Amino acid sequence: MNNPIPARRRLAGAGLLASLLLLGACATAELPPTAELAAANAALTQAESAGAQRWAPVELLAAREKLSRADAAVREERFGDARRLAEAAEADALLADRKTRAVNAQQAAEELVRSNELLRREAERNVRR
Amino acid sequence: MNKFSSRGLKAALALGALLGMAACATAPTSNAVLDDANASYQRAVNDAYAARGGTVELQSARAALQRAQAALQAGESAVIVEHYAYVAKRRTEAAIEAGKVVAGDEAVAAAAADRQRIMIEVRTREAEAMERRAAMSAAEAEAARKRAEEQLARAQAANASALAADEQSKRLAAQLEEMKAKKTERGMVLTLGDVLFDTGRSDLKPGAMRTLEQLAAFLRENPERSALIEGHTDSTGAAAYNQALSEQRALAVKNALAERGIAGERISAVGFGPSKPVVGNDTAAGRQQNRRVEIILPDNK
Repeated sequence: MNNPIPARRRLAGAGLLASLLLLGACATAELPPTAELAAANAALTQAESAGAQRWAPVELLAAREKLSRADAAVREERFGDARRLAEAAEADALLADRKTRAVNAQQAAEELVRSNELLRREAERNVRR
Repeated sequence: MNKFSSRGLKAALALGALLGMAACATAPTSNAVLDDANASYQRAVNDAYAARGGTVELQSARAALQRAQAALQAGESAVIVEHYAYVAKRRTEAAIEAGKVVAGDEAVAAAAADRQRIMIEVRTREAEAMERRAAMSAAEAEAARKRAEEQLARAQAANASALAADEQSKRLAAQLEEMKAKKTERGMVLTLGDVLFDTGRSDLKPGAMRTLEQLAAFLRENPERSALIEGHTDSTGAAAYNQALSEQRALAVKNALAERGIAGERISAVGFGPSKPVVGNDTAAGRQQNRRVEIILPDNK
């Protein structure tokens, strides 16, 4: 009891820890969804370079629109909304990308089948000639 | 009775309020959007192509479904549950599209293999057609070569026969020369002496045949030429007899030529009897010279 300072210091330390924990909690809840936004942006870029503008314009537009709404939500510090919007935008962009690739693969196959048919017909004609 | 009923009503109301409160407090056990996402996911898992081509997408879809389910069970708001359900459904759709990519790639590979087969078939057929054409043109070339050879042979034959004809006509001219044909203003004159006839007869003796043969050959070779045959006698004997004899001898020569294919209209036969002696009839040698048949080949044109 001849040393009251440590007690005070212990109390101060506890207070600091509590406030730190509180701060930490606050910070976690309020962090912008950087990773989700980055993932959504990457997915969008990939879809665009695959040609989604032409083959999956509806999905691409949905992704872009959600991403810009996510950016707006970040500015308004509605980080929960921002994260969900970014996740949805990424899913839209993913679908746009795969849809585009599917169309391209199907078209490549159809093109090849058509050209095979032409070749076959040409060969038939040559033989008859 | 009233009192009881009023109490029962109060109890029922209280129970209802309690139940209502309980309902409010308990989280809903299902969500239509999540159910739909789950059903889509199940279909995609059973789609062989989506399962193969969309493995990653299906895994992330499943993770989102689990988060949606957890949110539902934790009693989180429908917005949160449906958000994860939405993400799950989009990823499921992406998995199905990824499956279509695999299907498309397989179709491309199959078509490429098909193309390979067609190309091989085309080349085989082309080679066969080329072979047929080559065989055909070889046959044509052979036929052309034969035609050329035949033509050459014909040309050579024609040339040879032309040469032969030329040579023959030269030879015939030489033979006429040999036959002692004399060139006069009336044309070539060939004299057959009386040794070719027996005295008083008009049949040609075999010795005349060679000369007649040569003459017939000459006339055959030169179809534009005609011949005038004149019979002559010496002055011995009756004039009428000599006249007849000279005519018969001329005719005998004409007939001999006709037998050798010389048309009668090309040959004129006349008899002059003793009227045109070449020498005097006073000597035996002179008379022999006067007994003769002359064949005149007038120069053409």
